[in-house]
Formats: sequence, structure tokens, C-alpha cells
Amino acid sequence: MVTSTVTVVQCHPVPESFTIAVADRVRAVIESTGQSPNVLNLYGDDVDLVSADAATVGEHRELLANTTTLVIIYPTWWSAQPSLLQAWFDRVWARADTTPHHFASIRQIIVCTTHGSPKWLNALEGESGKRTVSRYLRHRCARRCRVEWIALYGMDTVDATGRQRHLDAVDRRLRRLLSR
Amino acid sequence: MAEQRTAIVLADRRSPDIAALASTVSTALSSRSVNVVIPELDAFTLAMSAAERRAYDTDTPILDPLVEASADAVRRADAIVVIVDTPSNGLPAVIKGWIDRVLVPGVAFVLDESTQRVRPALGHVALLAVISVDDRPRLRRWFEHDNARRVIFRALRLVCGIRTRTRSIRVRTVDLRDPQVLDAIQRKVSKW
Repeated sequence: MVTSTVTVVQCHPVPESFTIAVADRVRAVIESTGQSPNVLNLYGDDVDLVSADAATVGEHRELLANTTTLVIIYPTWWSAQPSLLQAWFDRVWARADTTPHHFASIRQIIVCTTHGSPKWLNALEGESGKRTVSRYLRHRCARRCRVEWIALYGMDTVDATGRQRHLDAVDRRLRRLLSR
Repeated sequence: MAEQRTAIVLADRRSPDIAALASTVSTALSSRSVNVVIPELDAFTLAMSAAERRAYDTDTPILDPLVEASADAVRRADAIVVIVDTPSNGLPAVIKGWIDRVLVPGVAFVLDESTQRVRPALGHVALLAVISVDDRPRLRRWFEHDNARRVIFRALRLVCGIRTRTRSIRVRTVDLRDPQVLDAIQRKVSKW
């Protein structure tokens, strides 16, 4: 039997932001299922990912090599991941030295993100961030790896009630996905 | 006398091949009396800081003088040329960092406070171009999608004007060491 290991990667500079509130809820849900997630806080860990040495990159790769569920939490800026998360993709997932199905233990990628603009505008912009996960990252995980997309669109116009509703939706969906 | 046109060339010049390509593009544009601005991305902080994110929705979203210099260049730019190599499918992190930090409200777009709708502010940009250094086979590119170009030609294009032209060149890394290829790129860019 394969032991389930969950890794949470979070990326937002402001601790009181909604993205971090989502990350806190995600960690609480995972812990309530009896698991202890590995957490990579790309802003909090203070690692310069552009010039990170091979040892640091190796540590991150080793962590992913032992992960079954990867949860990525970030705000969508300019239709894609923030630069720091992109730097993490460039260094840890980069094509040059990565073969297909490199992180073969990852069977599920769950993305929790927020978009300032509404869904129709994101569709017009081409949802680059979503494609990077579903077309690029997934190809480097297990053969039948699933991608789950939990997004709050039109965040700029969503009030406190709408945000609370989204947090509850994250909670419900995550519980269902982790029990699979 | 007509005002001199300005072009911004964005490139991660830590790679010698990309630096040579940026220099070729710069020469081609200069030959048409265009003032070329190449931001020093090396000196840029990669990620938006907490203070910058908190200032993002205020009237003064830019806190860093380097970012302000780039934002000034964007405000008077007639062309933006982005040179991308694609180590992991999206835009290179340093270029995405420049976009995240420089193209803020008041520079690339204006947020209408009553409707919360974004109004484009880059209508003065006549040309938006991408030169991608991409070694992926065509089938793999088709499968993975070209997300770097997608961000520029769709997300960034939406805050430009209706008359903004788009141009693109795709080249392989190995071809960048061939002077004939660089000459061909120079000729092509000088016609843009």
C-alpha cells in the first residue's frame, strides 16, 4: 500500500491575504484527516530560487519525489503564476534535466487560485496558468495524474460573504479529494 | 520634428545566446532610429514584495526606483519586444517578475472604481512582439501549449490598443550560434 504524502506549495507575499487564508484552510483540512503536510512557503522560506544552489533544488525535488498529492496555492497574476512560483517551476521542474513522469509518485495535483477578473475574461486570456499545470506539470507526474482546479474568479468584486463561501467550497472539495 | 519612437526589449540576458539575440534585435531597431530601452533584469528583484502588493491598489503602486524607470519607459513605448526562452513552459521568471511589478494599475491599465472594470492603458503601443527560443519538438509544443506567447499575445494584448500589431519569431537555441540566422532575424525585425 502506498502511503499518502501531501505537499503544499504556497506563494503570496502578504500574510493577511485571501490566498494565505485559503492556504491556512487547506492545511487545517489536511491535518484534520490525520496527515501532516509538507509545506513549502516560497515567500516565507526566503530561498532565492533564481540562484538557488543544486543542493536546495535537490531537496525540493526529493520532497516531490516522495509526494502523492501536490497542492499549489497562489494568486493568478497576468493570467499565469507569480514570478516566484514560475522560478520554482523553472528550477525544480525544468525540462532540460527532467524526463517525462519524473515525479511519478504524484497522482493528484490540486490547484487553489484566485483571479481578479471574471471567468469569461480569463477564457479570453487563454488561462495560461491552468495550462501550465494541466499540460506541463501533469506530464511530469504519474501517468494517470489528476488535476483539480479550485478557483475563485472575479475576486475584485467578491464581498466577504462570497469569500467565506469560497473557503467553505475549498474545504468541501478538498475533503472529498483527499478521501479518494 | 517627429518625436523619436521608443521600443522596450525584454530579455533575460544571463544566457550568452539570449544576450546576443537581444543585441541583434536592438541593432535592428536602432537602424530605424528607434530608441531602444533594455531593462537590466539582473538588477530587478524577482518577486513582488509584501509592501508592493499592499500598495498595488493605491494611487502609488510603485515603490522601487528601478520599477519606476521601467514604468516610465512603458508609458512612452511604441513597441514592446519580449525575448523568451522557455525552460518550463511559461514566461521566464525574471520576465514574469518584471511584468508583475511594472505593469501595475496606472501603467498598463486603469481600474474603473465604479464598475471595477479594467480599462486598457497601452493603446500607444503599436507593436507587441515575441521572439521565442524554443527547442521543443512541434508535437510537444502543440501538447503543452506555448504559454509564454499566450500571456503576451492574449493577456497583455488585451490592455493594448485595437490597432496594436503582433509579430512573432520562433528560433531554436542551436540556430542562435549561426550568424546567418541572426542576420535573418535582424532583417526581419528591421521591417517590423
